[in-house]
Amino acid sequence: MASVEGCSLALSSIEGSRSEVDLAALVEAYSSLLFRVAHSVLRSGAEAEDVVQDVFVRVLEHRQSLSSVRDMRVWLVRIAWNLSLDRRRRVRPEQFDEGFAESLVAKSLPADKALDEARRMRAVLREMERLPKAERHVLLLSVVEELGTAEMAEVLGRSESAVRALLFRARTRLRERLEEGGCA
Amino acid sequence: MRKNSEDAMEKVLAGLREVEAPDGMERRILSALDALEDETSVGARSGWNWLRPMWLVAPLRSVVTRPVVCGMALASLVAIGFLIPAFRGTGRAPVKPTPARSKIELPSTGPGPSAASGGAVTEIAPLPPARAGVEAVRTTDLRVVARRSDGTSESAADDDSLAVSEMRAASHPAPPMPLTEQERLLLRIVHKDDPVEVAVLNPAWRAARDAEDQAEFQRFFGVAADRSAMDSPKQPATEQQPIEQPTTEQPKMEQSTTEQQ
Repeated sequence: MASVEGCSLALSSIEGSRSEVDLAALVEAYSSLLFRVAHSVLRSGAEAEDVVQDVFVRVLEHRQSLSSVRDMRVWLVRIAWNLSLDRRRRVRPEQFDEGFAESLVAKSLPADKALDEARRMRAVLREMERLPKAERHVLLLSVVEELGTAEMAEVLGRSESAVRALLFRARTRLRERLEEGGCA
Repeated sequence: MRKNSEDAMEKVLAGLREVEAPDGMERRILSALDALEDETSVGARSGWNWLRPMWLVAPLRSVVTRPVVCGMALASLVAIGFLIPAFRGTGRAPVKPTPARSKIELPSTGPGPSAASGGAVTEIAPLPPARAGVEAVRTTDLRVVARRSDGTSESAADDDSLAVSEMRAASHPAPPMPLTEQERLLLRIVHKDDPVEVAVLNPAWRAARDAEDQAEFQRFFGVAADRSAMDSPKQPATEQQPIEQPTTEQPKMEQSTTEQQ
């Protein structure tokens, strides 16, 4: 009996070490990508980091079914995307736009030009929020360079052509609204 | 203007694209995951359950619980068995079938095989109703006396047989009681064509009758007073009242009416 229990404990320790190694590898490989996905929606570093941590907590809870996941990257991005949208309902991303816009302004610019540049950045972010939901989602997800059109379509649950059309319309509508608003 | 808007839009998208994760994010995430994993593992084996060998507890659980369940079921059956007669006893009195022939115990008068038991059991043929009841009561009383003299306790069966025998005894009508004075007077009044009544209705005859009764009264108490005076000479002699003699003559009519009766 003792030998059987020892054998089972050894197997469980091997499985635990394997899952731990896999989890650490997943964190190392995908944490930056997931952070950008979350940050594109939330525009806050702290909130995006919390979302990434929540993603790996979900992975830890469902580690028994990790073997059935076909594309780990898309699966993780979808989890991060959904968690970000869920968190967006609680934290209003508009409150972080000012700080993010100021971070985009070059430090070398004079103060008056830096203020004008920051105002333009806030106008762009505001018009992005006014876009239709589907177009905004495609535009935000297209920011992530690692994701191609097929992966974006899989994350959003749409076809590739629809994603391309939505992305084109989103850019066109945003440009037109910026021109109409005098964002020059 | 279009170029400026395009530049602004591309600049914002580039800023979102080129954002860098904060330093130490991976380490923080991994440490948080380790802490969470340890917490879940401790929660799974918390308490004293890990000290209990399940391969030993699982069989013992059935061994221990099975007799307890059987004992509880047996106790409930016994309780029900005690409760049902109790309810029946409080509901109504038990009814015993009346025997066709009564067995009556008589005290033994001499030595015999059944004398040691305290009395001989003899079967008596049923008597005629009027006589049989009296005999049954008498024999029952005798049996009760004999049992008490022997010191044995009376049982419920003996009481039942006594009650049955008393129930089967013939009933005796009460003897006629003598009439009271009022009843006799009532009969006398109700009786029609009574000559005495007619005499009472006649004032002359009634006065004569009253005088006769009073004379008789005086004669009786006058004699009694004389005797008492003679018995006690020391006492002062009281004046003897003259006895009133009936002044009225006895009418001859009374004689004639009595003769008519």
